[in-house]
Amino acid sequence: MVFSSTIFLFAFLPICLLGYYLLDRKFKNFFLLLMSLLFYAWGEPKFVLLLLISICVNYVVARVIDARRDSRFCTNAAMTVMLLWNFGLFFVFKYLMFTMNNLNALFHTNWNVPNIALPIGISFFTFQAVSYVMDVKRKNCEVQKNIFDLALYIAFFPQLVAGPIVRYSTIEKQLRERKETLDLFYSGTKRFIVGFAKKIIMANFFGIITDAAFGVENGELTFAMAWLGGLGYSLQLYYDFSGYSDMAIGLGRMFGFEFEENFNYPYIAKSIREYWRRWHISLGAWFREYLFYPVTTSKWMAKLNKRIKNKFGFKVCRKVSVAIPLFITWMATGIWHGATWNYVIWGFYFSFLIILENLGFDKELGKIPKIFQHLYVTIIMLIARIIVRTSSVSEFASYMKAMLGFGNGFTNTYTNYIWSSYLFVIVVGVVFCIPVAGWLRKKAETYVITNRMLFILEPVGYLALFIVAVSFMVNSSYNPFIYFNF
Amino acid sequence: MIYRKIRNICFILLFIGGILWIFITNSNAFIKLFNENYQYVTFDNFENINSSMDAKLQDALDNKVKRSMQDILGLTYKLLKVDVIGEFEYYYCDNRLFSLDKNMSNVPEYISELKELEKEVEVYGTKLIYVQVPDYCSEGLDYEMDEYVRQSIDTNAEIDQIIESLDDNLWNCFDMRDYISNENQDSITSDFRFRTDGHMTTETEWWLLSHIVDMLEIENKEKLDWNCYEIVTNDFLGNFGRSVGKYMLGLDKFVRLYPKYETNFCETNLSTGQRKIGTFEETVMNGYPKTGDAYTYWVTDYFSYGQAGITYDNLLNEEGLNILFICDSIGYRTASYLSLFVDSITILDPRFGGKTEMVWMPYYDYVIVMTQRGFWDCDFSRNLLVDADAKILDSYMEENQLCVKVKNTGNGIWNSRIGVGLSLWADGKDTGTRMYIENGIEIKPQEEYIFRLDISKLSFSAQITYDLQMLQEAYQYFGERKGINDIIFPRGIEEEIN
Amino acid sequence: MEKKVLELLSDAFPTIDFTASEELVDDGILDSLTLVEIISCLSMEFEIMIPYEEIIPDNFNSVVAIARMIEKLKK
Repeated sequence: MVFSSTIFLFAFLPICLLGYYLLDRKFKNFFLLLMSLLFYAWGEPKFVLLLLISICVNYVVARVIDARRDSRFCTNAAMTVMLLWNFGLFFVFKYLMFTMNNLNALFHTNWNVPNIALPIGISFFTFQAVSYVMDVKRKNCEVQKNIFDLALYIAFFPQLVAGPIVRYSTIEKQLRERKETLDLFYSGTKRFIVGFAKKIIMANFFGIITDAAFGVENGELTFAMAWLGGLGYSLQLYYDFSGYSDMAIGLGRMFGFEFEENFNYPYIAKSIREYWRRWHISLGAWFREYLFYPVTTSKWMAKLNKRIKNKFGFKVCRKVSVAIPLFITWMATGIWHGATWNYVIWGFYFSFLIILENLGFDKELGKIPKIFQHLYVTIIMLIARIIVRTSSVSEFASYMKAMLGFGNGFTNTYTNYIWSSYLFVIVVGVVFCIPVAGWLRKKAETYVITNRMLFILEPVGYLALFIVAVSFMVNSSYNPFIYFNF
Repeated sequence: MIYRKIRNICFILLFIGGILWIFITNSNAFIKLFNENYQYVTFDNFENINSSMDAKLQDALDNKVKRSMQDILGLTYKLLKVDVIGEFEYYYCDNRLFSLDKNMSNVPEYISELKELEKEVEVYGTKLIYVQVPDYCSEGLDYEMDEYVRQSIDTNAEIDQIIESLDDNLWNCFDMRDYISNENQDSITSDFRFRTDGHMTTETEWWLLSHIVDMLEIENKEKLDWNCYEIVTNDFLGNFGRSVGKYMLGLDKFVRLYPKYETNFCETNLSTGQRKIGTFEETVMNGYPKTGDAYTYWVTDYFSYGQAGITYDNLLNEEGLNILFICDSIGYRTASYLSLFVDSITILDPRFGGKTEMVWMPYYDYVIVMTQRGFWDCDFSRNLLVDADAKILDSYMEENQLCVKVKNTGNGIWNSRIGVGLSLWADGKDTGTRMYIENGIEIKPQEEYIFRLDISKLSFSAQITYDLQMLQEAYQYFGERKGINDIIFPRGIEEEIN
Repeated sequence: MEKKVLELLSDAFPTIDFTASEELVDDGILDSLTLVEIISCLSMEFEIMIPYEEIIPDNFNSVVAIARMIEKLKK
């Protein structure tokens, strides 16, 4: 099921809210669990079983680890089982076809590549389960003895399908001790409306623009169209994904849960490092906690560090001790996004940039005027978008050629047509990437008159926005999320 | 603090209330939809049913809700200054919508249809009139369109090609593009079409009618005066405007004229043979109420939408002309009002199967063809091959292909456009499998042609008798029927292929 | 111990003011990359192994906290 659909908004959500608030506290979690499973089964009736089995495996493993902390053998065995199960599942469903196709190509073999469908949300619930077990192991949280509560954590419908990746420690207490307050519900509703509007209005428009730009025949791409495509895709991804996260956070609040933010105006970042602290924050946090830190503190990394220190001295060792885990983490982040060579290249691309910044480039960056820092980030990100959006090296090359001005001229009638038809929307889209709304609000709150007006305008505005967004939804046939295949 | 609480409660109530209201008011429709779709649900098709549910639910929403949503959508498009509606369905400029679907169709085929018509009428001396509605981008219609849009929906070159191909001796050509002007009284302006619809306004159609009456040399022009009619004006949201609601462009005004004078018609449906006698309103018009809402599609109040052909006999004008009017909906109203000036008018709509062989050509004094872009892949001329005959000379297998050599032993030229091909029969019944003539190839009388069929994807059984026969699709089978079992199943080997 | 730690870190990271707050990690003054480099320095200097479980904000939020952690790990 998709949030921006008639069935969710006008059937599932009202039933869910009614049931939740009418039921006694004892049954609330179980009810949410059932609804979440229904939500998942709606799109994946076969894989819901997989989800349930996965929950059971992770539950058992965590209980074992907690019960037998004394025995290193037990805990290690349990961890191995957990890692093999979760990442094995992840590998088989997401990467097996890709791996086999490439092995076939590489070794000229003809092994039969099975056609495996990707269960929606596997990238998210797998990672959530892993975060739970690892947090139990390192005593960051208590083990969850109630399997239904654990199941709710893993399968809760707001974040089941496309994040944010909620780390267990952040909502551990909330599973049993949350309070659904009026203010929380109010802010959750507002958040949901904003996310919904972002997804169904903005992301849709930019999707049309991006498809138009990337659909241009080879050799016909003009400079202005190439840039429009890059801009359009960046905005589409942002509004699509941050809109979904907003909806997830908003829905969570409606049921008393407070999830952590997933996006923080990423396009105002002044360095790539900063960008990744603002974009898909929960993913960065997961990789940091469960891949980056474990790698940096692992024994083999320590041995490697010693050898490098002895050979090249401490200064080099210090930088290498960061660079190698960074590389591993960023390659993993890349292929997490998708089983394609685009994302492998993407992984290399960002590893290189972040390592470069870490080696002192960010200091140099800090010295140049802010406008150029923003420009640097914009250009790096545009290139990254194009790496992902084009489907072959030649397509990428010709697209970049056009962006550098060696395409089919500066502009043509088609380019002008697309630009002029959507100009205002593009401006609005760019403007709201900057925290304008917050700034305007602060300004309004300083004056009494505007503050009073704001008191009424706020709910009215959100309701109007909701109605407009619903009108877009009802008049379209299909609105998939881009990150839906993760 | 308390005001804040009250405000928040009101907001939440409105939000949830709104959603619940839509849920409850449409619950009947939703439940019915669920029952229908999930009656035969299994584990396997659950997913498939779900994926189509959303579109069905949207369709099932109460009309009033859908329309309000469309109104809001259109208004939002307007506020966001977006010129492209949906995924390039319409283009918005000058407070009107333009269809971005160029729908070119096959101009050479259309020209050959017109040529066929020429041949048909030449024998009987029937006169031909060709009416051309202006293309959106005709000279003089200065809409402030984007250059790319203008280039991509401009069909003037194709129109020129069509008009050029008409035989000047036979056709009287009325190209409305010659009458576009903003000054001259006898002209049409940029407003000749509705803003929210693809059709022409009643005023323009009436203007066209007066010119046709001139071309037909009808002397009694009293009935052209609007004073003879009861004028009823309705709000109208046309077919383009339905996707953006009534706030984006406003509404058009649709004018209908009801004769104040006596009228008596006999309506004959050419497909069913049904007859009806009554006044103009009772026969030529479809009886839409005089007070409808903007969503009534007034265009279809004339002629009978979806019918191949209808003849209207004006029983009070026995000395008038007999007209054959071949058109799509762009000509319905002109043709309908023309019925008041003639003895009889037969309207054929080729989109629904209207073809000249439904009528007896000698009966007509004039044939009027009125077209607009998108109409050109229709078939209306008599295509029937007369005295068609064929002989199957040889059939053999070449790798996976069945090859059949056939000779045109009849009259008439075979080509794919008029549906000539080989049909495959199984146990005395036409299977529907066809072997066609390649596009562009013509087989004249006494010429031969080799038909080919890739049989690797079909399955044959040796227990069934297979035959081939030439046919003209939807018209006739002709020539000999020949068995081919011994070719598909080589002698001595009784096996199933595939 | 604290003095030693402060000296070492200020030397290695001249751009960061380690006395600016008592919530160095929570306030974002030390991000993950800096943290890892600090760990590198500390493990080299004090010849300790800082295990994965110790990478928590509590251990790095202030120079005092870092010193405390080092003492603990030395044992």
